[in-house]
Amino acid sequence: MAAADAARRGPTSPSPALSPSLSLPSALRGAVSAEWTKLVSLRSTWYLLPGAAVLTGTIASSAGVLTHDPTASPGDPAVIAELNGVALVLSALAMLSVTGEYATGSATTAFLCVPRRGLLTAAKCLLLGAVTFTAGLVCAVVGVVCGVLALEESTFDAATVSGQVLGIGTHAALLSVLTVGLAAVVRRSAGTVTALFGLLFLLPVGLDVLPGGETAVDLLPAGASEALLLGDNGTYGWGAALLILTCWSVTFVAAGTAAVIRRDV
Amino acid sequence: MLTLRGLTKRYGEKTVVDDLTLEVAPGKVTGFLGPNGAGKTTTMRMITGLDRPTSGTALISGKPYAGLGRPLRTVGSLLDARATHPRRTAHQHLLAMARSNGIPARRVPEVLGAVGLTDVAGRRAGTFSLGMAQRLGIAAALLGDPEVLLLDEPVNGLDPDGVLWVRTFLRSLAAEGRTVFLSSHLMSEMELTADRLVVIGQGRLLADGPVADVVAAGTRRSVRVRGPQHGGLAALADRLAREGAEVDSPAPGELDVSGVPLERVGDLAHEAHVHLYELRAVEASLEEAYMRLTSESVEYARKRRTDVEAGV
Repeated sequence: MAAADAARRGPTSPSPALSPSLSLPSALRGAVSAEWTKLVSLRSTWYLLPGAAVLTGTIASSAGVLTHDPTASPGDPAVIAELNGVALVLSALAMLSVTGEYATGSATTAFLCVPRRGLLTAAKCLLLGAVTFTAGLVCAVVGVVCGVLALEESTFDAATVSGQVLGIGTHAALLSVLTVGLAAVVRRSAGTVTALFGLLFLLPVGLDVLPGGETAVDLLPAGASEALLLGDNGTYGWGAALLILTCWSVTFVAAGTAAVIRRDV
Repeated sequence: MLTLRGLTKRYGEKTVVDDLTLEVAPGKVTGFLGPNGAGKTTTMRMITGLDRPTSGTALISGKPYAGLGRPLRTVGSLLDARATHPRRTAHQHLLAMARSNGIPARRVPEVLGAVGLTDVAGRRAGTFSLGMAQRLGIAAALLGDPEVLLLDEPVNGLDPDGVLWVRTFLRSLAAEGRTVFLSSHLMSEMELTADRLVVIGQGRLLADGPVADVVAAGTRRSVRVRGPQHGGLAALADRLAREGAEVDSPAPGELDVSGVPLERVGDLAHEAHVHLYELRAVEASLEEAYMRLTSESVEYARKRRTDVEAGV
C-alpha cells in the first residue's frame, strides 16, 4: 500500500513543498493522535471508563460473596464481571468513536483530515484497542481486589491471577476492535448495540438448539471469550480461543473497512 | 489549482453532477453558482473524496484528495459548518484536526483568533450559533495554511459584519496567490467577491469565465425610455422597430428598447419631438444573467424529461 502510494505520488507531484508527501507510519501516527484527542475530549469517555471499573467492582463483589469454593482464584469474580457486562461497557467506548461521528456529522471532518479510509479505521482500532486493553487491566485489578475481599475462601496463585488479569485486558481489546468494525458497517449506535448483543448473547442461544450447534456456538465470539477467560470451553483451550477471537476481530474490521471504502461518507 | 475532468455523479437514474470539466486557477476567487440541487455540494464532496465520482476525476495540484499525504496542508475546506461533535469544544475540535495532519498545536489559537472566536475557544461547538459555527468552519479550513480553499456557502448565517469580513478575507487570500473556490446562491455576494464564475444547473456546466463575461453573455443590454406623451412614444416605438430594434412597453409611458444604441434612441426621439423624462441604459445584472442561464437549464431538463417519457 505504501509502495502504491509512493508510485502514485512520484511522477504527478509538481512540487514537494506544495504537496507534502507522507509515509504511512507518520500518517498513521497523526491519525492515532487525533483519535486520542477526540476520545479524551468527550465527556462520555469519562463516564464509561470509571463506569466500567465500578461495574467490575459491583459484579465481582457479588460473585465473590456467592462463590463458596476453596479452590477459586481471586481473579474468578473479575472474569465473571468481564464476561457479564464490563466488556460491553468498554466496547461502547469503541462503538462511540465510530457511531458518534456519523450521528453528529463530524465524520465529514474525520474523513477530510484522514481521507485514506482504511487508515482512519486502522487508527481507531489501534487507539481503542490500546485504551480498552489498559482499561481492561485496571478493571481486572479492581475485580481481583474486590474478589479477594468478597471471597470467603480462595486459593491465590500468582500465575493464574496475572493470566486472568492479562486475559481480561486482551479480551476487552479484541472485543472493542471487533466493535469498531461492526460499528463501521452499521454506522448507528442503536443498530450496533443490537447487533453486538445478538452476536454475543442471542446467536449462541439460537444456534444451540440446532444439530451440531454446540460446536458452532463454541466457535462464536462468545464461545471464544469463555474459552479465553475460563481457560477452556469444552472444545478448545485459551490458546486456540485467542486465535479464534483475533480472527473474529480481524474479520469484522475487514468488513467495516470494506464498507467504509465502498460507501460515500 | 483545481482540475475537474468529466466529473460525474449518478445516484441510480438521477444524475446529480453531469460531466463537469473545469479548472480553478490560483490567485483568484472563483464563484461556484447554481440553484439549489444543482450539484454544487456534491461536486465539492467529490473534490474532497467524501463522495466517490461515478466517473471522471477531481485533482488538486495534480493529485486526488486522498493522495495528498496531509490534505489539510494543501486544501482547506468548509463543507458543512456543523461537521463538529457538538460536545467537543472549538479548541479541541481544531486540535484533533491539527494533530491528524501534523500541524503544530499553536496554529489552533492562531486561526481561532483570525476568525474572532478566541473568547469562545473553550465552549462546546454545539452551543454555537450558525454564524459562530461558520467562523469555526473557516478557522478549520485555514488550519493547515492551505494553498487551496473550498468553501460551500461560507457566508450562510453570518451577520453583515461577518459577510464583509469573509469577503475581504477571501479576497486577501486570493491576492496571496491561493486558489479560492466558493459556492453561494447569493448573486450579489458573488458579484462583489468573485473574479471568475462557474455556473451550473442540473449538474451541467452553464458558464465559466470572468464575472463580466458571464454577465454579458447571459443578458442583453437595453435602453429604458420614459415620457408623458403616450402617442409620441408609440410613434417612436414604430420608428425604432423600423430601425430593427426590439421594443417592449412594460408599462404605459415606458419603452424597453434593445438592439439600438442609446444615442440613436435619443436622436430619434429628438427628431420626432417626443418629450422624454428618462433615457437610460439598463445595466445587465448578474442576477438577470443567472436567471436566464439557469432557467434555460431547467427548461432543458424539462424538455429532456418529456422526450424520455415520449420515448424519443
